[in-house]
Amino acid sequence: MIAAQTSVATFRAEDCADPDFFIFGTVGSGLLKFEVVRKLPGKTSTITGHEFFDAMWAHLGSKVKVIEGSWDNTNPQRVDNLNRFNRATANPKVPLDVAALLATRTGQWADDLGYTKVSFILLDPDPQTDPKARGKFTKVIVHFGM
Amino acid sequence: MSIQASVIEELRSMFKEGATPSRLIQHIVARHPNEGNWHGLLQDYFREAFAVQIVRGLSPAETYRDIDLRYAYLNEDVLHEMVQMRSSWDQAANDREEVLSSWLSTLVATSASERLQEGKQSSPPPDFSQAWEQLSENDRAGIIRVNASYRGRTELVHILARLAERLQQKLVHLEQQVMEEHHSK
Repeated sequence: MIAAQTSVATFRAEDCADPDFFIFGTVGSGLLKFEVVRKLPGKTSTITGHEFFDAMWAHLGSKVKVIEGSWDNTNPQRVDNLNRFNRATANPKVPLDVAALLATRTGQWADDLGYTKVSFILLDPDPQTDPKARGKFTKVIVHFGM
Repeated sequence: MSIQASVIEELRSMFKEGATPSRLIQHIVARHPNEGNWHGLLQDYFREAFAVQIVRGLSPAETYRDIDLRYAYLNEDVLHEMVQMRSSWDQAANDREEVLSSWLSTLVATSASERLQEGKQSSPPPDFSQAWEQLSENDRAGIIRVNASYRGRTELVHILARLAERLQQKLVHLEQQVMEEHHSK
């Protein structure tokens, strides 16, 4: 199902049926950064994001102390997590850390693995200075730790 | 798919001359004309040449032959990280006698995590010193995060300002060349 090329600190796997779908992950100093693509205009991979993530985790998981979520709107094809975060945070009753952990795919996968400690590294706009930021974030970097 | 040491050196040299990340991507593609999997190749080159952990947002189906403004976003995080990691890929960055005319010299770039950590460890921002202890932990974390973000943006502005001027220098040089060629005909 998945064709993988691996090295010590990086992992890349593609959908055998269509190499346009892939996951790429890399670990440096215990921080996992990754990107997964399973939906493109007009087509969707039969491999779920979770399956891609599990394959990566099997290879890199033992080295990971923190999982990074980095979501922005620069590529309109890669806004799934950002959109989920914005939908959840548009509700003022939902704490930001809960939204990151439970409303986004990355957060849910981190939660499943016990990486439930949420730290926001960057929020743009930041609700600390912009009271209307909730639901309108354009860039979020968040770390999920244990 | 294998990266070549000679291409890595070319990329570093081009960047030091003022090439943007999108121009470097074009160069990688040109040097590997028969490669089908650009995405993996680009990641490998940016990691090996500039110690950039991941380049996000690249489209796997893209041929990268016609880079346009949609790749401007690479001049934010990726460019910032290339400058941040410079001491690990550019010997000149560690040389005290580095030529100051390099557009990269004197530039400072730090990671978002690093800035946040420094903010947590340093004393409260001067404007908040009186009220700091009365603020909630969430508010303090928010203020530190905003300050760290501001610092990151400031670093990026300085990087882009230097790069813009370097590109202007190159443009002037090219204009002069064209003028000289025109007059010699």
